[in-house]
Amino acid sequence: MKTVQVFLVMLLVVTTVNAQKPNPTRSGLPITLSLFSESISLPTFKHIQTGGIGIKIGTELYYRNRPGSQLIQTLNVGYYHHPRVQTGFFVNSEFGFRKYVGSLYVDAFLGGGTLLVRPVSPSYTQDSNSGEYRKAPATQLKFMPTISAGLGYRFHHRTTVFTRYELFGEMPFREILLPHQALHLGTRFLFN
Amino acid sequence: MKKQLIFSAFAALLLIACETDPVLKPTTEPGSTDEYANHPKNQLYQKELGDFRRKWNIPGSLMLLKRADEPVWIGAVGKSNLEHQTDLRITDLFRTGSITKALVATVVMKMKEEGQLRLEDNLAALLPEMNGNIPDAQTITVRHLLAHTSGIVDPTNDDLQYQLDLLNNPHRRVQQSTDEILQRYVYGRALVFQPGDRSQYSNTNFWLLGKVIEKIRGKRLQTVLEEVIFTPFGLTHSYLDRRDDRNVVRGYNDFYANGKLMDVTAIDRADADGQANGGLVSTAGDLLKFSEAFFAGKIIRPASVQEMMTIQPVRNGVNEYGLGLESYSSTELGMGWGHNGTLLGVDANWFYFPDKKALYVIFNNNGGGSDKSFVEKLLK
Repeated sequence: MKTVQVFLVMLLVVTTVNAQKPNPTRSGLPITLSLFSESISLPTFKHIQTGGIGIKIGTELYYRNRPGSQLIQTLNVGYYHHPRVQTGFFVNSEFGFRKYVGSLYVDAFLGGGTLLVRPVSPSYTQDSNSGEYRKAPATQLKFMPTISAGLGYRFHHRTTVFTRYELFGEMPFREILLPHQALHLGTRFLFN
Repeated sequence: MKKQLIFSAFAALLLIACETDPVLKPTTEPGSTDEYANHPKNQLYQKELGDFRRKWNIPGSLMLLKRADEPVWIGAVGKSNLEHQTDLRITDLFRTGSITKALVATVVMKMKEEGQLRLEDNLAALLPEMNGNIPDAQTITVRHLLAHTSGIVDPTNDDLQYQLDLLNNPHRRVQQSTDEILQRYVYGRALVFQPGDRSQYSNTNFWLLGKVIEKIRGKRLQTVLEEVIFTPFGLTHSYLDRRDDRNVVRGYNDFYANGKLMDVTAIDRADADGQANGGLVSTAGDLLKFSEAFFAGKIIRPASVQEMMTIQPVRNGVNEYGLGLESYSSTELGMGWGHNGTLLGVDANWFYFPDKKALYVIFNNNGGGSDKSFVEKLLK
């Protein structure tokens, strides 16, 4: 499973490198910063529950950058703290499309990455020789598939504010994955 | 300066990530299981229990065996608390999970004997607030609830969102009442089948029975259990209400399916404690006392016991459930009656075989499940 995770992350890195830089007439790196609320849940707007809070920071590279639309590759790092359950630190990349209507835009992304999870509860492993139980390392490396959709507003000076609904998973988890949802509130600006 | 700030922020976040919940130390010292050292089969039973625990990757296993021709034997191997490496003792408290249902059903039968309800009373009459919330509440009877033939949904086993909500915030689940759980996960949902058509295990049946008991008796279920079972029959270590009791054996599970056992006690507490479907905390010794009184017809009349030990008919398929009791068909021991108890971190069995007058209780603190058929050989 670890090999698969490494392969998927490598794939994301390669595709990210292949993406083009933003419009050269506007210098600076686009920086996306968002705060999000996270919860372990199936996709739902009806019964959104409180869980953890997190922060995500990243940049965008563009395969296609037109006035009305963009084909985007993102590269992000983030962290969330879910009290009494777990903390997570992640590095991921997403591929997506953004459509502008005036100053408003909608976008959607699909991606994946690596999630370093640290459950709050301790884990133990059995020594095969003695049968005794010893504390196991607290952190676990997981594959993190993501899918998201967002809505944003671009100001004249190119800074944007946005909200985004994201679903991400922890894999492997038992049979398939442990689903999480996150509601982001963020901004994007050019960093000179 | 900017880089330093970013670095400091991340360092702070990573430090927060290192926080873990402390596993509180038990207040009593570990004891031994030497009490049964002189039992004629002590060595054999101890070895079998040790092999079983090792095979199924269980931190701690406790077993009680009672054969007609032998004195009772209780043994314990392994640990009750891995954080503090506490030895499991034969007197330790376990969460018994669904074994609770047998005691709750006993109370219902007692109430029937006392004329406080009838098994054919319908849910809508007993709990009028179910009208409009649970379909066909007028045709679902107490008998359907006791026998798991009501067709009412079971969020604990069949509703992924219930399970994820429990993982997401166990603390919140602790604070939710049965009414809130019913409101959120049961009300308005269609029946899985028409009442009496089939048999399908549902914890909701016993949430509702718990409400019926509390309403008719006008007391909390814990108090009713004390009055009907715990106090008269000397179950001095058993309780149902929610307590912050650090002496209860901790539960473990291969939660992330990575071969490591995670401490899932917080989830078990949230899912079961205080609930009529699985909240009983007890000891093997107390379950022995309950068994002796119950199967001898001392708590409820022998006819009522017999009725509980009768598989309830269904119109389609087969049923293996009586009234609050599960059947266990053993080629070695004949038909057994009792209950399983499963939580994320608990795997428990309590079964009595009338033909052999044999009883066993097993408590394991790994809820991943195990094959306990070796017990049949020991009780034969």
